[in-house]
Amino acid sequence: MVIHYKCPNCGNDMAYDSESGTLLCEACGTKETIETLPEENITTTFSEEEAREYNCENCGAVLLTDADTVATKCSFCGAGVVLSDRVSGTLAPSLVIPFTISKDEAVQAFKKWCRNGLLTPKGFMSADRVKSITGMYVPFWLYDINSRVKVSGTATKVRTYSHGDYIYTETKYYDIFRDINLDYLKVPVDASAKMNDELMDKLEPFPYDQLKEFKTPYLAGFIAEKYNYTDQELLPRVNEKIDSFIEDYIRSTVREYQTVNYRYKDIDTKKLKSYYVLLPVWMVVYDYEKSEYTFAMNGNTGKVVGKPPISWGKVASWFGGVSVASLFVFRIITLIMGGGFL
Amino acid sequence: MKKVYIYFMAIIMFTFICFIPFFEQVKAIDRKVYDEAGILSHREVAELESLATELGEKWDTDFLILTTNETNGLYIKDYMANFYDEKIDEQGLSKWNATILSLDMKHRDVYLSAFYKGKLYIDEKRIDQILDEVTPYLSNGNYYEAFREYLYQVNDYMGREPAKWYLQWWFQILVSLGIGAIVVVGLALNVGGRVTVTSRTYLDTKKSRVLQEKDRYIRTVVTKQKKPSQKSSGSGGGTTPGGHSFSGGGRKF
Repeated sequence: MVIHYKCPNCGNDMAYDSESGTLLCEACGTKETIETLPEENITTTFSEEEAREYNCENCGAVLLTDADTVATKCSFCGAGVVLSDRVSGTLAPSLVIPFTISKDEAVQAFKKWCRNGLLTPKGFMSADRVKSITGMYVPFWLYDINSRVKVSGTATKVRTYSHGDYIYTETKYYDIFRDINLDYLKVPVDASAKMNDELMDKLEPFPYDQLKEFKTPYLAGFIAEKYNYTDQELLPRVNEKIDSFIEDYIRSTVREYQTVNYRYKDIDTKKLKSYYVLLPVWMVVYDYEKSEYTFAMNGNTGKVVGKPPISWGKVASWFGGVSVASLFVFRIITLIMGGGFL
Repeated sequence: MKKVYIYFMAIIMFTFICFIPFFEQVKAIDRKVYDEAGILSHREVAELESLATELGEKWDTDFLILTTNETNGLYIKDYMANFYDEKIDEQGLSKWNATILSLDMKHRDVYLSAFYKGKLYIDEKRIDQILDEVTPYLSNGNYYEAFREYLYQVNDYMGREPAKWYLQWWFQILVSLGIGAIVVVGLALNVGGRVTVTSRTYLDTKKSRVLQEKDRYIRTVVTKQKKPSQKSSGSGGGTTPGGHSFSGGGRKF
């Protein structure tokens, strides 16, 4: 099943516009809110061989998709289409955060980020070799998690004081117990096999106040993928993610002690709820000295992550510059104290 | 990039300018040898005067010699401290760079002290080393030779690096390279973007809390340890009644 959005005014293709938050026709400028677009302008067709082949609703060409694609652009006529059977039933996302950064803004933000690279080579900083920039809805699972934590152990408070000719070290031992309830809301884990987990983790946080109920028109004009892993399959990853958060919290409750030895740590973590959401990411592919570098940009906050090339010359000059400057400061301090500069 | 460098240099220049008032020129005292005990001939006094002036000028520090027969019941260290206070008042200085070799002929005590810049270069360890060289001459009654040795020794140490390890080159170079490495590693680690979520980003603060806590006191263990013994009062530095701190060391000869 393929969905294509036609302009009610001129019949051209419509795509989602991040600035106005509506469907926009580039030819005549017509804007249609997602809720009011007339039904007859949404063409929906079922294909016979669903998993295999889809045809573009606009020009009839075969859509080049792989098994995970949810939304794409027809490579022949450029119309944005949504493969709606891949976003329905168990595959229906419940929420989506629409793009708020447009393609032009994304390019500008990426260029600005490149200019600020302190260790990147000069040729890279100019950012004039952006090979492609693709707006992509990446499937994420958001989890509401409850953890009940019970810890007990021995803690000490240490105090030293001197009296007469002796220094006394007084160690007070306490038996401690903590029963903590922790709730974490909407912890995101990316559900796409293609996306690098580390990269996606660095893109956080996404602005959850902009979460919208999922509607297919949001995807028009962008690439979207469906999830490869179910929420059950990714549960270990979210647990691993909040483990450090829990440890942090436990530590904050025993801050008055110098040392704590835990006898037992009973952490009972339950999934309360999980949501399938699509989050907006700009994928930037950059060509530099015959290598391709891939960057991801948060489609709402503009935060850029990814490994740029590193210029060893710049590393050396920073190292040298900072070292010499520090030594200079030390010598001035020495001079002020009367020790001479050289 | 260039901007960063310019800011950096501007900050360094600014600190430099701020501290310029501290580089006050310290006046040198005219007389260096105070032979109250009368153990030197006129010629020896004159020669020591000119040697002390010649050597001390380079370091902006006065190398003094003080001898006495009568300390009015004071230990030579306290006698020397009073002498320093008296002379610094006479000159109207707030800081006076000096080293003083004092002899109490009656009790046969020798005491070497160093003030301000002198103290920076000549700490207690170096004072001990100087006294090791000087005392044998004193014991033989070879005072003139002893004082010459003292002047050359002090001159030699003033020409080295300050006594404190953190003012020495090897340490400062090492720390500078360390700072450079930390900055570069920090930049390199952040080059691909940082994780900006904290342990509180997803925490539901309304529902998350400690439901129950118990802290039961069990016992107290006290251990005691003898304080490291302090040096005997005869040796070591101190502070003059006028509030000038010095490094020092003394012994019998």
